[in-house]
Amino acid sequence: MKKITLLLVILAMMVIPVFAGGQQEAAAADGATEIALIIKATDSGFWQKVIEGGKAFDADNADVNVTVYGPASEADIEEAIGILENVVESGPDAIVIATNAGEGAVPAVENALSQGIPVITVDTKIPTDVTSHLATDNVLGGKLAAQAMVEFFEEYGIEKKGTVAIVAAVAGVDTIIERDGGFIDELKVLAPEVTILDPRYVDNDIAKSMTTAEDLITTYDDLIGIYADNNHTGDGVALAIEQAELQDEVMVVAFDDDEDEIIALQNGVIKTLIIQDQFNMGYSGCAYAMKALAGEDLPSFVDTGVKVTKKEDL
Amino acid sequence: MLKKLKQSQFPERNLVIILVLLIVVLSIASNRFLSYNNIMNLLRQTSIIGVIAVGMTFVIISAGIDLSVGSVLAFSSIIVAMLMKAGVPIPLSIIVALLAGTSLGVLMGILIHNGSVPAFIATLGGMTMVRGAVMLISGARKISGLPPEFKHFAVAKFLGIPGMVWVWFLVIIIGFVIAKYTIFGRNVYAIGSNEEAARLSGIKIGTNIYGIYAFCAFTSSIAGILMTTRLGNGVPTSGTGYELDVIAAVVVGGASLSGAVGSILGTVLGTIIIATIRNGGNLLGINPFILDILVGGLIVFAVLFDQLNKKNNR
Repeated sequence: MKKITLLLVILAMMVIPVFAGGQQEAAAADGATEIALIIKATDSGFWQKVIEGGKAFDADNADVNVTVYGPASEADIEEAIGILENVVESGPDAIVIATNAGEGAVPAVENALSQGIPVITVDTKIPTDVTSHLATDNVLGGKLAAQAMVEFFEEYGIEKKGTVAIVAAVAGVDTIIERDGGFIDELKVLAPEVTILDPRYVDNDIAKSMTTAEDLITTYDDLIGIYADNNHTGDGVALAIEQAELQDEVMVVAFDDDEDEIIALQNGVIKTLIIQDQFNMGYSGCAYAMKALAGEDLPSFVDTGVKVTKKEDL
Repeated sequence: MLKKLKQSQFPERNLVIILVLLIVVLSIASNRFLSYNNIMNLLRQTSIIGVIAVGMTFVIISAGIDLSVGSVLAFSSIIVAMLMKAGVPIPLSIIVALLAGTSLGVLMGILIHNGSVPAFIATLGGMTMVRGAVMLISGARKISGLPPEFKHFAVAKFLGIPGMVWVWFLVIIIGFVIAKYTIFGRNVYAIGSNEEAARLSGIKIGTNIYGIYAFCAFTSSIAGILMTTRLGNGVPTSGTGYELDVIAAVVVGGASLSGAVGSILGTVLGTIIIATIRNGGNLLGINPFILDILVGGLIVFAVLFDQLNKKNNR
């Protein structure tokens, strides 16, 4: 009995400060406009830049408080939905959200909208009408990637005949489907004799995208290009190409710009990066949330733009 | 009669047959399968799971389970990366990471033996807590910018075989010797067969349980270091879901979750069989979801086949 009491006391001592801390934070934010910024994953440099954008907006506006939420990995869709539900429950003034949950996020988002909380989606659409959507034009990004790859076929004197593979982050997500679709459509036009393989999905795992790229290299002798449609796939593919020393035979074009991708671009392993403006997504996402709260009419889609970046552009 | 005798003298016979069949079929279906590059890919891709599977074999033979292996992998990966980034010499960083990871195993052993917490619960809690700790200390971000000598280990070859594969071989040999020729190894089987009987016959259960979980955590920590060299980064989400892949490899290798049955050789064969199916599927461009069905079926049939055999022998 004594032991149990002791255990309970220890447990209470561990738990109370946690709650106390939470309350303090809430009290400090009193009076300021609360914007909840929900991102897809905390483990990736891409989303860290979205967070930086949100924090910068927070710093620029004394009466705004931006709080960041998000699961550790993009594959944690279930957890992402839970986080969203909790955020809606906590009743912020506005929500800026990027999520892979798609249909799964709709009930919570509609719940927020019905309570008069504006919801701005960034990066990825969800299948319902939200206040506004800020994102990269992913179809255009995919097309630009295909154009860049073809330029490098010409620069390296590679005949536009072999096989091109796509290493795709996750299955069934609109952003990725649009990026791959844009790439495939444009490449078919620019290099009609190239065989384009179906996308290989890797659960946004760097180790898996590396393994997949290794297997592609072994399987296809006539592999002339790999398109990696986000940062983690770009990292994995770059590792595989670097280790196989195939940077002059296999042209790699990737989306995004995390630290390792930039290094790979400098080393010539990745030929071109299609860089999105994540900072802008975070910053403008919050700015649009404020506009919505001020009662302004917002466009349903805002293109945040991409930069086609080669080694010499760094 | 002869058939039965052979089966009991060499329980891994069926696994060898399956593996040989797989190799024959795949080498006919794809002329790349037996190429040097593909075999090296296969071994490299298997080695990380393979190292942990050796440790897990002891746990399962003792009628326990360890769900924390993937989190311990990430823990050692983050520790070794952070230490090296802070300028600590590579060998010292590795030793500290191995010790830190192994100590987690000891803690779980204490919980299981002294606290009488079922292994499933202790390591389930451990898995979640350790992953949380990893996210916390890494800020859920990749740790990049590691020394090139360390990253070089992933590609460095000795006698034509990658360094990380040698590490796997070494762990296999150590595991094999411990299981077959040491008192600790025999104790593990005794505990798995009947813990009470083992205790009555004078075996110190506590020390052995600590040893079992410490060794499993040790192999997971080695895997974490291998993962870090392979990815060239400390990745906090790495190893997620590995516990199930590892348990699958051990079970396909003939170990029984009710304890006392299993061998290192069986585990090695189980690991290679699963990896070969995945690798072959990639080479032949088989839909990955179909591969999941195949691997899942293999796990069930391995156990089903074993049970039928036992019934027939009765």
